[in-house]
Amino acid sequence: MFLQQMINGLMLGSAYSLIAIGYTLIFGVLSLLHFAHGEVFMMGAFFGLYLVLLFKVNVYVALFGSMVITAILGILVERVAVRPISKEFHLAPLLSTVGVTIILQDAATKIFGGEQVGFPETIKIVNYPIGNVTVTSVQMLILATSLFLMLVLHLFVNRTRLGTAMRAAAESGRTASLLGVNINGVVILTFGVASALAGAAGVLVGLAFNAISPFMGVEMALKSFAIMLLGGLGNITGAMVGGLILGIVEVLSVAYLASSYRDAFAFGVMVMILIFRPSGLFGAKLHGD
Amino acid sequence: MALLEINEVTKSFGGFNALYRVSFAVEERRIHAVIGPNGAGKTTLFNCVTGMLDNEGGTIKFEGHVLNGMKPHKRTELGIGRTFQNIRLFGSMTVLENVMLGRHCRTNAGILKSFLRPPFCELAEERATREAALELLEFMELAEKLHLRASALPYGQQRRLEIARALATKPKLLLLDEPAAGMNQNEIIDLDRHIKEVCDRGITVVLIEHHMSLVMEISDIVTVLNFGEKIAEGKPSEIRENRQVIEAYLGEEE
Repeated sequence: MFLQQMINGLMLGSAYSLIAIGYTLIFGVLSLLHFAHGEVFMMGAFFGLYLVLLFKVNVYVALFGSMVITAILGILVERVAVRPISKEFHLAPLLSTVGVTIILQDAATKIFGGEQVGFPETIKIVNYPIGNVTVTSVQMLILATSLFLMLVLHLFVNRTRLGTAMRAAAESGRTASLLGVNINGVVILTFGVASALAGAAGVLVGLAFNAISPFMGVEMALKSFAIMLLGGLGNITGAMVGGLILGIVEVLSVAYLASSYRDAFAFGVMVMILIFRPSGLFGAKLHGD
Repeated sequence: MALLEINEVTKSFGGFNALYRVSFAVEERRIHAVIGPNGAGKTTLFNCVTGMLDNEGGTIKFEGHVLNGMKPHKRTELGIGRTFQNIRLFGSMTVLENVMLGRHCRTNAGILKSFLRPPFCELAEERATREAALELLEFMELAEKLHLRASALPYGQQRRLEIARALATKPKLLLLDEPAAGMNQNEIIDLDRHIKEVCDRGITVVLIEHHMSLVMEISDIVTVLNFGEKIAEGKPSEIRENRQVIEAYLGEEE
C-alpha cells in the first residue's frame, strides 16, 4: 500500500517537476515570474488532445507535437508580451504575463469550451502487477517521459554550448553578452525549452487525470511557483526534487489523512521546509551542478 | 589605419561629463595604456567601446566599422575582448567552462545539434573548443585548476582566468581593466610577462592601470585622462616628464 502510494506520488510529482523546471529556467535567465506558464501547460494539454481527436495520432506523436506547438506558443509570448516591455520596471513584465494568463484562458474557453474533457482511450490501460504493487501503462509512460526529459535537459544545460550560454546568462547577462553571447537568442531558447516541457506535462497530466479544462493551469502555476521556492530560486535540480516531494506529500496525505486537506498538507510541508531552509532545499547558489 | 579610433567621444551621467570629447587612436600590435586619477573616465571609456554604455557624442571605429549602437555580443564577434575591474567570472561554473564559454561566438552548434547528438558523445566542435580552452589555460598557467569552481580560485588566479576567458573570444583587441589591482609584487611580475606574451600573439592590448611601474615598463604609448578629458599622450618617458600629468596626480603616489 505504502509503496503503491509512493509510486503514485512520484508520477504526479514528476509532472509538477516538468512545469517547475520551466518556471525556474525562465526565472533564472530573466529574473521574471512567468505567470502565464501554467496556461502554456494548459494549452499543451489541449494541443495534445486535439492532435489525437483530429488527426488520430498515437500518444507519442501527440506528446511530441504538443511540445513543438507549445514551444512556438512560448516564444510568441516572449516576443509579444515580455521583450517589448522595459525591464527597468520590475512589475511591468510581471503584470504583462498576468495579462497573457487571462488572454490564454479566455481563448481556450472560446475555442475548446469551458467543460472538462478527457483523452479518448488511446492507450489501452494495462496493469502491470509488480509484487503487490500495480503500475498502469499510463503511469509508466508519465514517469518514463518525465525522467527522460529531465535527463535530456540536464545534459543539455550542463554539457552543451547553448546550455553553458544559458547558465552564463542566468548568472550575469551583461558579462555573458560581453563574451559574445546573444542574450536575446538565449531568452528565446529558454522560453522555447521551458514551454515545451510545460506542454509535455500538459499532455501527461491530461492522460493521467482525464480532466482537461481551460482552468487547469491556475493551480499548477501556483504549485510550481511554490516548488521553485522550495527547491531554491533558479535551481534546476531543486525544481526536480521539489516537484517530486510535493507529489509524494499530496498523495500520501490523501491516502492516510484527509483528501480535502490535500493542498493544506502539501503547502504546510513546504512552509516547514522554508522555515528551516529559507533559501530552499538547494540553497542560494543559482544552479544545479 | 588604426585598429581602434576614438573620435570626440562624450558620455555624461546626469549632467556630469564622465568623458568629454576624448579622441585617440590605438595602433595595431601595441600595448596602449590609459591612465588617470580615480573618476577620470577610464572604465566609462571601456564601457563605451564594448557596448555596455552608448556614447552620446562622437564615434568609435574598430577596423573601420563604426561601433555606435552595436550590441555588445556583435562587438565581441568583431574582435573586442575585455576583462573587468571587479572580477566577473561565472562563479558557479568550473574554470574550464568559463573559458569554453568565451568560445561561444566562434562556434555555432545550434539547438538541433545540441539535442540530437548521442548522449555522452562529444561533437567535433566541442572537442575543438575544449582543446582551445585547455591551450589558453596552459598559457595562463591555470591548467591544473581545470575542474575547480571559478569562485574557489585565489584572487590572482581569478584575474588570470578572466584574461584566459577574454582570449577565448579570439580578440584582435584586448581591453584590460586594472588587471594588477590587488596583486602582490610577484603576481604583477607574472602579469607583466603574460601581457607581453599576449601582445606577441598579435593581439593589441589596451590597459587601464594604476601601478605606474607596470605601466611604464610595458606600454608603448600612454594616454592620460583627467576629469573626462584627455590631457596628454606619448611614450612612457614623455608622460613621466609631463607637467600636466604630474599636477593631475599630485597628492597621489608616484
